Formats: sequence, structure tokens, C-alpha cells
Amino acid sequence: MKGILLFFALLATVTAVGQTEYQFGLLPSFNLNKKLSNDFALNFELESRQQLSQGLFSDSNAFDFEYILTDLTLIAGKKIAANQTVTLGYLFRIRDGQGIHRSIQQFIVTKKFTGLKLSQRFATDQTFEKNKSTAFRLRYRIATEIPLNGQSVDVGEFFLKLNNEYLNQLEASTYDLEVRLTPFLGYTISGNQKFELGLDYRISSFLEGPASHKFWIGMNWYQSL
Amino acid sequence: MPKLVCTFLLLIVVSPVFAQTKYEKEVRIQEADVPAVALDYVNAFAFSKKIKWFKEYGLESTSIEAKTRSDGKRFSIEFNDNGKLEDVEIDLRWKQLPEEVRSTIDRYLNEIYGKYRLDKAQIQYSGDPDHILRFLRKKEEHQNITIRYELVIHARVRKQYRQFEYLFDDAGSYIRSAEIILRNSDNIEY
Repeated sequence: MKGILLFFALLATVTAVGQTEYQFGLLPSFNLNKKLSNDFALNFELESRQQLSQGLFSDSNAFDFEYILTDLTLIAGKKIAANQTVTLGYLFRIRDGQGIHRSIQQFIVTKKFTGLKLSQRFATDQTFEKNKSTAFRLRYRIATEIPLNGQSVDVGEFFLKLNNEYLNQLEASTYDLEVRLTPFLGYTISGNQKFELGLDYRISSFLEGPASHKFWIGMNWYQSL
Repeated sequence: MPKLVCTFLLLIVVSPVFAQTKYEKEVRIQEADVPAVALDYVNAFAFSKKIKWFKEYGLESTSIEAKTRSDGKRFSIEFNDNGKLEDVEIDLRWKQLPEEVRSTIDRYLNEIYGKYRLDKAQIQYSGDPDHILRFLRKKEEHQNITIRYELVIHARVRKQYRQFEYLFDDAGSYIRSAEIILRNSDNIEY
């Protein structure tokens, strides 16, 4: 498994991989969506992170399970055009027994092309944590859903989901850029249920010093009411 | 008061239109699963690009469709399950529709929605398969061919953005329409 992770990291960076850190684990999430009248919608997400292994690529690191955090997010969205949505949200993070708060603002544009669906998300968020400076982030994500059978994703069909996100973070005058690449294989269980399984790869701290690589096995369940 | 009556009448006229819905599921199929008559017909066009075949499941019927590109245009050739040609559709831009047709359609849609946006436009040829082939391949004068325009639009109706498919004749007169059942995109939005 570590070999695969190392190969992935090599593709993403030209830094001295042997001395760079990695973290590997699980990232399951449950996503509940409810459409409301007047083009409003509510989205609730429960996501948890569990570490399975971590250390330097050059070392042989043993299995090291550790529960990391749980995120609870509630987002309210409003369609401002057929393919455009603005949202406001709040995230509550439980980490090391502490509560972390985050406010979220997003602008989402979705477009359907022949054979794929594309979504662009522009977002800002502010993270508030006790005894720490407020962290400000500016994010851009492009996501695509490609049906593996036919020209649209129908019930009982598999699809490929590819996300690429760029997160600019400013905290106490320190800037960092994180890049995420998430290839997922998805399955449409019914008109209101989807399941996805894949890799959520994140690289950060590469602007100054050795990069930090995070590999999460993502498991997403989407349920619409 | 007259305005209220007009609105009420418009709602009565328009309501049956909204009652119709359209749902299509397409499944890729192999050439071996295509009726020979349909295969021969599409081969006669001598498209240079790859032809993809689909089985299309609607709410009430099924069909077989060949999709390809030629001269930068997207072609969809639709057959019934026995391989009988239903129509040939070619994507086109709004400005490629004849000006009179455009203004007739625009007037009609403006009356219903006030504000709408075009998502897709196609010209649709139906009728004698050989005449359609000769017309599209050799640019011969067309006979026994019915020309229609299929548009996909979206508009805000009853406080919700909805998508509709409309069919108009070659003069831009309304034939039929249906609301498109939209698929969920939550997993690439949030």
C-alpha cells in the first residue's frame, strides 16, 4: 500500500519524497440533502477521519490507528439561476475533545455537457479555534461526474467522480496552499442514493520546506429526502 | 381584473404542458445488438468518426440511437426497436435557426415564461429515410421530409427552476413539450 502512496506522491511533487511526511487513513462521510420550496436546499454532512498509518516515506511505519476528528456541517443553499447556487454554512469540528467552529460561504456553478457533468465551487471559510488565530481560506474546486455507461448517470449505474481543489489558507500572517485530488468510483443506488469510494489525496506545506502528503480512503454516502 | 382572467386562462392552457414529464435513460450497446437495417442506414452516411450506439429507455417507450460527430456537428439518429428510422437530429446554435422561426418561438416562450434560457437546440428531420439520407449527404432538394426544431430550455416556474423540452414545426409553431426530470447533482456540488 505504501508503494502505491509513494508512487502517487511522486506524480504530484518533485520534492525529496523520502524525507516528506505522509498520513494515511479513512474518511467516511454521510451526506443528507433536502430540497425546500422556493429553490432553497439544506445539506447536512457527517464526516469522520481515522488515521491508519503515518510517518516519513523513508521509514517503515507500522499500523498506527488513531481517531482524529469528526465534522458536522450544515449548509443552506439557494439557487440563483438554474445552474447556480449560493450557500451559507456552519461546521462544528470535534478534535481532541475541543470544539472548532467554521463559517462557510460558497458559490457553485454546475453545467451538464454531453457525457459528463461539471461543477465549479468558489468558497471562503473562516475557522475559529480557542487560543489560535482565526484561519481564513479561499477555495476553488472543479468536480466532474462521468457516467461509465451511457451519457448520463442513471439508477443502477457506475460513474467516475474526479475532484481537484486548491485551498489558500492564511493564518496569523502565514500562507499555505493545499492541493487536493480525489478520484472516486461511484454507484447510483436509487434516484436519491449514491455511494462513492475512492482516494482523497492532499498535498500541503510544499511552498516552503518538505511537503506533507495525506491519503484518505474516502467513502461517501449521499442521501436525498 | 382582465389581467387576472388572462393569467388564469394562461395557467389553464399551460398546466397540461407542465403535467407531461420526460425521462430518458441511455445504455451503451454494441453494434451486434443493433438491427441490421439501422446499422446499414447509419453506415450509408459514411461518417468518418466513431459511431456510438445507445438503447434509450423513455417513460413509455424504448428506442435505439446512433451518436456521432460530422463537420463539427453532433448527429443523433434514432430508430425504433425494429430499426425503423424515427428521426435524425443535428445540434445547432440558436442563431442558425431561420430568423422568422426564432422570433415566433421566442414570442411563444416569452408569453409563457417571461424569461427563459436556451440550453440546447436541434434540427430534427423525419420522413422517408432515403430522402433524408440524400438530403443530408448530397444536399439534394428535400422532399417528403418533415423539419422540426427541438429546444431544451430552463425557466423559473412556480418558484422553481425547471427544464423543459419543446418541439416546434418548421414555421416555429408549438407542437408539444415536456418537463425534463432532472438528475441529482448533490455529490458534485456540496
